Amino acid sequence: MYSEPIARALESGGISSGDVVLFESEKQRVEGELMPKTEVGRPDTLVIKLGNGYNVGVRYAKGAKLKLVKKGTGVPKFPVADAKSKQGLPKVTLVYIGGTIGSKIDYKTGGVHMLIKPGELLYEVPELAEIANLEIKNPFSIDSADISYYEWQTVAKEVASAFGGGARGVVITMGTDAMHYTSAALSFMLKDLNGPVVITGAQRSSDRGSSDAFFNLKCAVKLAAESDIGEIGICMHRTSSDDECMLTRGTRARKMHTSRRDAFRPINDRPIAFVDEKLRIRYNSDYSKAVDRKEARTTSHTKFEPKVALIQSHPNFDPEIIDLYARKGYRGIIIEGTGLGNIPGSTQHKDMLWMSHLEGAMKKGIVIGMTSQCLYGRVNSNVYRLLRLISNLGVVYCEDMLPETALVKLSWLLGNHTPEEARRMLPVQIAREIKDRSETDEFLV
Amino acid sequence: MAIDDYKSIGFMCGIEIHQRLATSTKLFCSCTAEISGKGREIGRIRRRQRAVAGELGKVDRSAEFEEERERDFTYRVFRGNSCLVDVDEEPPHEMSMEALRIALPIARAMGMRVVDELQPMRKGVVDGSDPSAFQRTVLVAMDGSITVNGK
Ligand SMILES: [Zn+2]
Repeated sequence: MYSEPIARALESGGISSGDVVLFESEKQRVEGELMPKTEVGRPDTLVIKLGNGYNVGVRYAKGAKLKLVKKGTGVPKFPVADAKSKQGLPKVTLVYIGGTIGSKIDYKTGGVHMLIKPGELLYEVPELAEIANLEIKNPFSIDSADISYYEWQTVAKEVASAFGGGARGVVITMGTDAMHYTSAALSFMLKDLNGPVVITGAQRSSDRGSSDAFFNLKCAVKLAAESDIGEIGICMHRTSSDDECMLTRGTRARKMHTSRRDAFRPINDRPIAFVDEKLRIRYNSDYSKAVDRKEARTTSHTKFEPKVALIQSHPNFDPEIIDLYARKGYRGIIIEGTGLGNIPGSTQHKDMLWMSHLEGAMKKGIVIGMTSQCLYGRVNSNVYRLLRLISNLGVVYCEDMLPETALVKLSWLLGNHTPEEARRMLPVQIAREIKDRSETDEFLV
Repeated sequence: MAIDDYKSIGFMCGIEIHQRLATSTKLFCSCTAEISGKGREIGRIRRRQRAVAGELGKVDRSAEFEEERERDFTYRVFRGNSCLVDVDEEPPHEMSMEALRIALPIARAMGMRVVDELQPMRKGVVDGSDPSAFQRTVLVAMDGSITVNGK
């Protein structure tokens, strides 16, 4: 935000971002386009783009003057490509809920323009016109970290209605941070998929020439248009190179790197398919086939219980936190235990013992599940006596399920079933989130 | 052309001097700034770059020239010389204060006006010379003069 004096000068001068301004102070005289204010930088500083293209920050000190030279032209018109539907191409519904591929930022005004019309997107990625006839939906736009079950409910309904409207496949574009929570949620909320649902995004924003957005989107649309997969998957780069994309199962995907293009990896699973640079699909492991429309239509089951917590067991953890969740009315807790599913249970420091707290929570009807912070591998309550005790208390050992997936699954189960049913179903496979066999080539894929 | 001809058409010309600074790290990451050629090659990365609208304007003129929609480049990665920032897999780190501490006295020596706030920005390069398809550049100071032969 700007400081008071700048805000006043802008208002009285009728000046906004994108206008050509003349800034004068004792020290300097700068003319150029006023750039939008970003969060970085001091509030008493204006950013002006000089004629040579460079931006400079000028301090609005006492005696400074800011004059309007010429009003800017506002947000420019974005070019549009021909978007006539082509005969013989499958229909793909693209649901934008965030991320940079579906929007364009105007550097001069700072305005964000959503590419809602197919033609606008096709101008950016014309190759899509050869793959599918696109229908674009934008129920909302959200920062991925802000996403919640409210948004998942909307998206699940949007997907079901896309298939109801004859879409061959659905692509969802969003920010990447909570992408794997979203893919897990949709995997439980949607039944009888009539086609693939492919979630994609970018780790490098689409306003840079090196962005991964374009290739990710092309591969995602290709999978949605042509594959016979009936699952929710995440389609992102397989490696740091623009050689190949990888489709990872929605309940098995995890963001394993803060910034790399190939951040999304399958955990305890193999990629479902690859798409190469010529957009050829190569299937890599077995998958659920899309359900024929004549047999069943895709339905959404969006009830959800948000009062489920994910807690990590670690040295020095105060188990009274569990009582706090119970008092707050929580209905489920997923523990990310150490190793095979362990928690401090035999320490001589009485205030660090978990048992009585877990017992108390379960007496109140809270469903408790155990996963491992190792992420890779399966929890097992039979190896150690203590783990048998934990399991005998009623803590549900969740096999090889990811902690985040278990969180989403328990929330969904408690939204749609009684606690007793939820408890019984938590360790049972519903959306390929659990397997009873672990293959040797599913580690660090 | 005689000197008067240049004057008649209003010809002006400037020179651009590029100087690599002998800093211990690169400008936006902690890699060595030295090109030693000693680092072992630890991998290759293939990238395709597209022409997009840059920060210096709309689609850069040069970008339009190069546009074949996509161009293909292979980058070799050397231990010590290239990190995730260099291969466009990690956001830039804080700007090297060491570099700034070299630039500022130079600006002062030429009587230049240092800007109040530095604005790092992207300058599109589509020849593949940078995996990010842009250079990060900062205007530090303007104007100023040097005295040459008493002028
Ligand atoms: Zn580096």
